[in-house]
Amino acid sequence: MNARNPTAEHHDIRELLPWLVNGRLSEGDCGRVEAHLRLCSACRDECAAQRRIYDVMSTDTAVEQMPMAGLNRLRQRIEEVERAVGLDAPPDPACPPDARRVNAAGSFRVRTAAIAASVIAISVALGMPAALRWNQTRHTSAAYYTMTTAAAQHPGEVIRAVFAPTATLSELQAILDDAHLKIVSGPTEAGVYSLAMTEPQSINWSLRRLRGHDTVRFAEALVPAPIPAPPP
Amino acid sequence: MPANIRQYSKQQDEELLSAVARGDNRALDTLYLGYHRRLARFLARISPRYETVEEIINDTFMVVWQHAKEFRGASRVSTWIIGIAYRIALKSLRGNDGLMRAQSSDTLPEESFDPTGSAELRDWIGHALNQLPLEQRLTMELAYHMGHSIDEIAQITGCPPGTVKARMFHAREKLRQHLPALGGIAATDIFNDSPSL
Repeated sequence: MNARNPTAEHHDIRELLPWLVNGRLSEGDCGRVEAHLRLCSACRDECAAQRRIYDVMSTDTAVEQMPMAGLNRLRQRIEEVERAVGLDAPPDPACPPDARRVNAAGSFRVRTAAIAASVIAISVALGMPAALRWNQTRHTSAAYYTMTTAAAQHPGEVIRAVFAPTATLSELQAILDDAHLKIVSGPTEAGVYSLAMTEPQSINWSLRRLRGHDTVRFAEALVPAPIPAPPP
Repeated sequence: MPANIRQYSKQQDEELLSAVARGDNRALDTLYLGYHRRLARFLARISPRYETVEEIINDTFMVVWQHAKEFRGASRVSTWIIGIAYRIALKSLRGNDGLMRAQSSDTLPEESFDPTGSAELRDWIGHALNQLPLEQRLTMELAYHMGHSIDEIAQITGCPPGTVKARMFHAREKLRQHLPALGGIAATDIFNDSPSL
């Protein structure tokens, strides 16, 4: 027996009508609404009106879309961020090696290795002087990445992060203060900042604080740089 | 068949997201292509610029890529992804006055729309929807275009179910003002809010 005020029940039912129309009411609510509709012509009319709106809105329009172009840009963005961060996460045994960090366009690292190989080939073709000039201008470590090349680390750097391009300087500073971090380098061309700690908190704590901000698009702890082996 | 039909089952979505969490780019591609159309249509209600829509979609999947491992299955994958898109979209709009075609307050101009026999019903409704405050319009899109339940919309928008119902109710009330007739039927015949038990 329903002891509810009929007017209150009527208003409750009216609020639920859109979800009767889209078929997403719970079984209990559905029975309740349908029972009310049998008695209330106003709600039946409203239901019919909402159904007409639903029929129009639920029919997809032929909007021209280019998902592949967007996907390619996303792939490029991910690769740029990963390259900048120097992520070389340990392989997950549950993920086949050929599926890891691989996509149809080819990973950035594979492409870069191919570019590097091309550069070497061109240098050889042009003769040793050209190759020497290449070495002189690149006298530090290679400026390209291979599957095993780690990105250079800045002193004290523990985290790399990317912020929304719309973030203002004051927002950026507030986020860094909140996470007890400071900028030691950046941004790179990919918009990556290298961050160091200002307080002796844990890196994970700072990461959690960073990731709690919507403006932070990416934040990862840096894999510690390997300690160079002592000379024999 | 409604446009909200899912291209992948709940289980497939969860498997794909697990693979994304393990760093599988191909799974991310599949998820992206599976959701692109739905998100694009949803976000087109927020911004008419395709570039903005695509930027929000890519920001969304950047977050998916970075945080897939944190998904615990408390909601459906679709709800989780659309919720991310919703928050990024709102943030994007609020940070960019130029995109605020969608108004989020109740300070709407008292604009009325009188569809004539030559106009398409879709255009009438599209025009009327554009007069709604942002949250109301998106709630309507989530319910009618994307076919979400009250609880799912509450999860996506991060507000209580009562707020979802209230937003939808106010959206319908405003549509009543902007759609004096729907398909040739007089408004009084379509929208009659007095109970007649």
